[in-house]
Amino acid sequence: MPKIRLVNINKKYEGLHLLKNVNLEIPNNTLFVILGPPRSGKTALGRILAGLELPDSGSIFFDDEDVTYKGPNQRNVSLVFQDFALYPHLTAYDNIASSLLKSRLTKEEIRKRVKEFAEYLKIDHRLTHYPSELSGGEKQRVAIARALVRGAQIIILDEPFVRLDYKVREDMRAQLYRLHRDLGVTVIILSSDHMDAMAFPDNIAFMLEGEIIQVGNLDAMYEQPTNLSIAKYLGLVEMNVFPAKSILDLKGTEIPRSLSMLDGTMLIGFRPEHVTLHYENTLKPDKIILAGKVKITEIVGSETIVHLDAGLLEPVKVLISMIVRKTPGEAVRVAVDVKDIYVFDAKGKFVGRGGDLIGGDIAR
Amino acid sequence: MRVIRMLGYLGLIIYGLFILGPLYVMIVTSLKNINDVFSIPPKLLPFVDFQPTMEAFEFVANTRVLYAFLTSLGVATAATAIAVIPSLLAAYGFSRYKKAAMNDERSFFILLTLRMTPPFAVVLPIFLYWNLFKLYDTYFALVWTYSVFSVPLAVWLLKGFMDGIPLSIEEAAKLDGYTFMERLRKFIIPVLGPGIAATIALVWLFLWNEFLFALKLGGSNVITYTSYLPQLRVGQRIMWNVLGAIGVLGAIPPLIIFLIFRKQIIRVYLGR
Repeated sequence: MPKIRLVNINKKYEGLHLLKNVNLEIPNNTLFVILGPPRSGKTALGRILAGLELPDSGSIFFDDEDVTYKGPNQRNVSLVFQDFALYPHLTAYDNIASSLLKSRLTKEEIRKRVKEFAEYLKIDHRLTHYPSELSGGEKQRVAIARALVRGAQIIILDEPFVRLDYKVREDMRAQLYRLHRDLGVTVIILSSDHMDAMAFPDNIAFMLEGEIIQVGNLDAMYEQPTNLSIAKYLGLVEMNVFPAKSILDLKGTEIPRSLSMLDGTMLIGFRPEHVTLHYENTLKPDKIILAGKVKITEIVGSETIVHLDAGLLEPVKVLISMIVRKTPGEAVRVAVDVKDIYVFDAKGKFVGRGGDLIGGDIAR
Repeated sequence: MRVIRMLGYLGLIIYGLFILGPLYVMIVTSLKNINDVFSIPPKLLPFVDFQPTMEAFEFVANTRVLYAFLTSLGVATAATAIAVIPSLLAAYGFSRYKKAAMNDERSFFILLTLRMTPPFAVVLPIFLYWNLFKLYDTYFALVWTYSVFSVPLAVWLLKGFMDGIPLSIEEAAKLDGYTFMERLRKFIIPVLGPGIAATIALVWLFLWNEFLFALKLGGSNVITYTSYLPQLRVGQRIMWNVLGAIGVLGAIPPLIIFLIFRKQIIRVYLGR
């Protein structure tokens, strides 16, 4: 399993700059998630990695070997397409065996290999069926078996879970993890679902508009996002973001002194899960306390999302991890710890956390 | 809803009568002798109005009609076979290389105009060309003309089917290590199978029924069954019963094709 290194990859397509100077290193034998909203360039990156497309400029290295101009079957990479791309006129067995027919293996060896992977992925009882007779999860597994059977050391999965039911998704995530652990293959998941990042939190690259804007683990991205988009993207409910000025200018609200040092053009963000209901009437030097009226209450499973009209541009979202029934119009006070806020500059670049404010690192 | 359904069925029944009526008359006429054909009021019920006879079919057996049938069969089949292969490649190009320099709506439209031009507008120049090359009244001339005129239809149909095959299937084959020709042979053509069958069936049916080119580009040598029909007269009398018999025989091959490729052809017309 080679280490993958992408150097200054650029790709334009129909006037769109799909990939802008992408540099990325994927260590060997990792389970790597490339996360990003739709059209952020993930698929283009995956296709270039797999050798289906050439970059306009830049190089791809597997260990120290330059594979930029090698064809898809000359590198040890396989791609599982979002639509699985199974050959509809062939049975599951023939689908899996298709790449082996191009090798020098004998019929018996091919049969053994296909069986081995089919058993591993628990589809050995479905091998005589055609793709149209298989369920979504089975199709996915046939596609994965087909990708692995020729001995690929790197397997890229493009949005592997969007076509599957929620129940099957969990099962498939576990399968992928097992596969990575048992076979030692590098698994690269291209995904727009932050749940995938939560399932595989160790190695994540976040892509936005053709650029990789952060690489690291989920905790780092959650706690220290480099960019407002990442902060908004990671989280069960999207982060509340307001211009600092609009919060500082609020009437009837207590603003800690440390915050009043902020430049008004900066953006203050805080996660709905960090907002708590506040019943006391005392001042807290380290909390922002917002007062307002309930607009809507959504109950999601065992959690409640309260949309609070606090006199800001948009309602403040509050995530409470139990069921709370708040009627619209009810007056509510909520509090956010200063250490929980995120500060961004006007362009959305991360400046620091609220904790840094107290130390005076972020000043006017 | 039930009323609308009933009206729908009523419409279909009326439409069916329009279609089946002439067919019935054709079949009945082929079973009459020449005197019954011209009787007024018309005799429509065999065994009741008139005694059926195989006279017309026997007459047909003694003419060159069998030869004309074989010609039609051969010419239509050869022309279809010749037209389908380049059409397949052209359709692949139109479907897959959307960004290629010449591949835009205009070039596809130009190709289709070949089909949309009324045959009457081009039949004379084409006749003159073949005459110039001393190929008038040869099988080669008719087959070649048929092929050329079938290509637009075939490309149009095949492109539609090709568009229905996800590109990812081809790319998966690429990842599996197959070359372009292997991908075409092992993946595209088999998946396209029903579409190719429907295309062949429709192109063949059009050629089987073709009349104008057959009449103008064939002479005493090349006679298809359609161009043979107008010759069937004895004196001033048109032998309707013989025409009916040839019509009945001529309807058999399309009928067989329709029965075999029914599913695929319906799919074409429903656009699926």
